[in-house]
Amino acid sequence: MTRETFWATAWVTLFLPALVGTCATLLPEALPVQIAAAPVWVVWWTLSAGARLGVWAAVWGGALLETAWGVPPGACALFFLMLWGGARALGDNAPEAYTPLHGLVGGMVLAPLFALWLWVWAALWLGGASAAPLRPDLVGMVLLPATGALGGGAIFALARACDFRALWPPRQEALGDAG
Amino acid sequence: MRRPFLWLLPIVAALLYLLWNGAVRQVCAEAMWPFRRLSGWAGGQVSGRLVAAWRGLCDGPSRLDAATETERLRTLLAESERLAAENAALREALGWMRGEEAGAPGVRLLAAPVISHGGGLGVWPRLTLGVGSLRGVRTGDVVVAPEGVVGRVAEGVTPHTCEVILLSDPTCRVAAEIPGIAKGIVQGDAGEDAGATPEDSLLYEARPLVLRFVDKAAGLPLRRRVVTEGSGGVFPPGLTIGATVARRQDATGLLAEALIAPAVDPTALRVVFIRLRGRGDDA
Repeated sequence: MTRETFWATAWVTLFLPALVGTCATLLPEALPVQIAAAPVWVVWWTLSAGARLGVWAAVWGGALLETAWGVPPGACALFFLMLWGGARALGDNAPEAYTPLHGLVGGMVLAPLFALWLWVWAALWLGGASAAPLRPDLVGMVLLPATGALGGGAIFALARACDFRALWPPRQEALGDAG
Repeated sequence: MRRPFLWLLPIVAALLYLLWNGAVRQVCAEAMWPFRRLSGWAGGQVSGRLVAAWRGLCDGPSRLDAATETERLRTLLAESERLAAENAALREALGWMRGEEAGAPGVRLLAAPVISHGGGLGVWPRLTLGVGSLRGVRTGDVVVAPEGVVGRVAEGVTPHTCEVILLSDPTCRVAAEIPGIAKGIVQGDAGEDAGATPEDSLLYEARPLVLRFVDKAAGLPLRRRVVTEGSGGVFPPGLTIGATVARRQDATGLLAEALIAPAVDPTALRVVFIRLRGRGDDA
């Protein structure tokens, strides 16, 4: 583990509780708003950080979100791990570094998918009646892509500007000899 | 060899995470606790000042110096009104708490701030409180408010936080009675509208409760207070649950049920009280 990777890991481990706790308390208690904030930053680390740090960000961030939101175990962590797996499966076709445009488009697509996943997972775990509050309605399905796009673009830009280099490393193939 | 190992990593992580989820949740609750308390306090301070400042901005124009001074005074006045109302509410709660402790020797009431209602999404029948095992809170402790019973402490108490299972949670069942008239079990309705008619549902501020397994011959009266009966071993007798608003037969037609408007609206709670069990406690 390099020095920058160590500090990046420490940053992810310490910053996530502050981010999730603050967003869960201060932001409105509505799924379209909550999804567009802390989860987006978790996704950024899951996709951009190295393989092992990405898994740690997915599990730790997912666990914190599940605790803050009160959703059943695995509702968030498994979703982030699936994103991690999808990004790894792309291999050479994955982006070299994720940009705000990736966040915007990805947020627009993934926010409603995440909401549906939360509902389905809660229904499997708690039963359909108890999970009914999570069922996305028509207004929610219109708002979710919009807030997901807004949050994805803004937070990817912010994370790209603020994070350690180790949290969005360049691909190994691009690092050739200078000469 | 590294590729197969890499794919094993998330699978092993997911399995371990689901296996030890209870402990993981406690760690997460403790990790987030200071930030949730701080952001809750900061949010309250900022929102109060923003409202007061907005009031000042909405007033009509006047001479610059006088206008500035007037706005400053109005801001201070709004802030002092907010503090006075908060002070009065806390004094009332403190007076009620002392009365309860005096009437029930061996029981101590611990004031607990509410960190979140229903989780960050606001949809679950649970509260998160900012006190935990360090203050003597244990699983199963009864949580009350001046208006009535709120619920009981769930499993997974951390040193600084705990969760409360509300009466409206379908997994929470309470032995209850309408004093001198009928006895039954109060249970939440899982958030679905339990009103027999649309007019009934309009009466409910919070999720309605259902008093089940009542003898049909008892003749359920309406607008009568429902209290805990005490035979379940968790909730002491005499705590207010709510009032009956409607009655019906159950699905079998053999027993009666009553719909109860809860005495406590959990969404409006800012401070609750935990009955800490001690010597001579009836729970």
